[in-house]
Amino acid sequence: METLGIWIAAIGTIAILSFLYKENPIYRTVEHIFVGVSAGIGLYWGYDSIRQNAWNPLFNPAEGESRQLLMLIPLILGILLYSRFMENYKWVSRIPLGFIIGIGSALAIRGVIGASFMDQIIATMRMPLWGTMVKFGFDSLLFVVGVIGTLIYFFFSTEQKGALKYGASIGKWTMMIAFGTAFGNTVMSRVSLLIGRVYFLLGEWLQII
Amino acid sequence: MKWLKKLQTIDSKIIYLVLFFAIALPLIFPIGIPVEINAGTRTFYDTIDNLPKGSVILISYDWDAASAPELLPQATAITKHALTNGHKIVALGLWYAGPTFADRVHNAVAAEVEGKEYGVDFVNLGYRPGGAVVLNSMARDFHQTFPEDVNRTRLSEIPLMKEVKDINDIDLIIDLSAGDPGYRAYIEQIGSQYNVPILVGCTAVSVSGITPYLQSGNVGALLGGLRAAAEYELLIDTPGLGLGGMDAQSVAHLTIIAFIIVGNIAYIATKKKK
Repeated sequence: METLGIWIAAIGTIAILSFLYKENPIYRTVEHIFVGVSAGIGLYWGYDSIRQNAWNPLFNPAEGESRQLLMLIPLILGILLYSRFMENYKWVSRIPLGFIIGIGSALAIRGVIGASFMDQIIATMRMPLWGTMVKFGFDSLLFVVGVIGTLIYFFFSTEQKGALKYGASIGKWTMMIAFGTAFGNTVMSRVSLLIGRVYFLLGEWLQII
Repeated sequence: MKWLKKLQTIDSKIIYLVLFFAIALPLIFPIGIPVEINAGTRTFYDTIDNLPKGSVILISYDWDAASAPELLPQATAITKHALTNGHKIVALGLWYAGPTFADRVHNAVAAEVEGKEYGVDFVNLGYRPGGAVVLNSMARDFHQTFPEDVNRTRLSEIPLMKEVKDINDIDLIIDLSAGDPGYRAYIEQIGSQYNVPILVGCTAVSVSGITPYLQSGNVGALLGGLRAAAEYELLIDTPGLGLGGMDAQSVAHLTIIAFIIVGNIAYIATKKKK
C-alpha cells in the first residue's frame, strides 16, 4: 500500500512539474485531482467537527453525560446559512452571518489591539538606542529611524516638503529594503519546496539517495 | 553583440533545468557545507531543554502539503527532542491537513524514541475549523473543544488528557505556522491573555512577518525555514531532510545569484553599446 502511495505521489509530482515545460492535459488532470482531494479532506473534517461538537452532545451524548440542548442554537444558525441559496429567503442568512462577524470582531478587538498593536508600539518605544556608553545601539537606531520614516511616508495631512520629504524618503527606502528581504525569503521558501519534491523523487521513489 | 542579447533571452526552460540539477546533484553527492547554529534556533532548543521533565508541550500543525518540505523536518526534530527529554506532546491543527502530518511525525519519531506510547506521551487531537474561536474556546476547556482525538477516542479516556483540562495545564506552545490561522491567532488569543510561552516555527517566507513579534517578546524564539530545521537537526544530532537539503539550498541560491549577475551584466553592456 505504501509503495502504491509513493508511486501515485511521484507521478503526481512529475505531472505538476510538467507545467514548467508547457500547459498540458496531464498537468490539468492532476491539478483538478489535487484540488478535489483537498476539498474532500476539508469536507470530512468539517463533518467530523459538527459531529463531535454539536451532533453528539445533542443527540448522542457519552455515557454519564446529559444532552446539551443549547447545541440546537449553533446547529440551527449553521443551517440558516444555506438560506443564501434561496432567492426569497436569502435575507435569513444575515442572522448567522451577523453572529459570525460579531464573534470575529469581539475576538479581534480583544486580542489584536493588545498583541499586534500596543505591544509593537511599546516594544519600539522601549528600544534602547544606547545599550551602554561603549556599545552604541546602531541597529536599534536604524530600526527607530525606519519606523518613524515609514510613518511619515503615510502621513498625508500636510504636503511632504522640507523635513517631511526627507522623512518620507527614509520611509520609502526602509520599505524597499523590507520588501527586498521578504522577496529573498520567498525565493528561499520556493527553493525549499523544490528541494522537498526532488528529495522525495530521488529518495523515497527512486531510492538513489 | 549577439551573445549579450542571447544572455538576456535565455529560455526559462533552460533555467529550470539548470536549477533542477543544482538541487539534485548536491542531494546525490553531498558537499557538506558547514551549518552554523543561529542564536534563535539555540534559544528555541534551550527553551525545550530547560523545561522540567514531564512538561506538556502543545504543538500546533498549522500548515499543509505546500509547506511540508520546510515544516515537516522542523516538526520531526522538535518532537524527537521533546520526547527524548521526557516531555508530553499534545498535537492539533488549525489547518485541516495538519493532523495528518502530526500522525506522520508521531509514527516516525515514536519508533526512534524507546518506550513512548500514544495517549500517554503524545496525543493527536485533530483539526477544528474556526481559528481564533477554537483557540479561545480551547484555552478555557480542551475537552469541550476537542471531545475526541483523531482515533475517535474520548479525551476523558486518554491518560495524558486527564491531566490537561485547560491552557494553564500547558507549559509551552509551539506553533508550526505557514499562514493564517497560525502564529497570530495564538499570540492574540492565548499569548496576550494567558501566561504560556509561545515559540514559532515557520516557512522562510513568513520570517519577516513574525520578527516584530519576536522583538516585542510575544514570541519566545523563532525557527525559520529549512535552514533552521537543519540547525535543529544538528543540535539534536539527528540528520534528516533539513541537513540533507542545505547543500542543495546553498548551490541553488548560488545558481540564482549567478543568473541574476549574468543577466544584469548583459543588460548593462547592451545598454552601453546603444
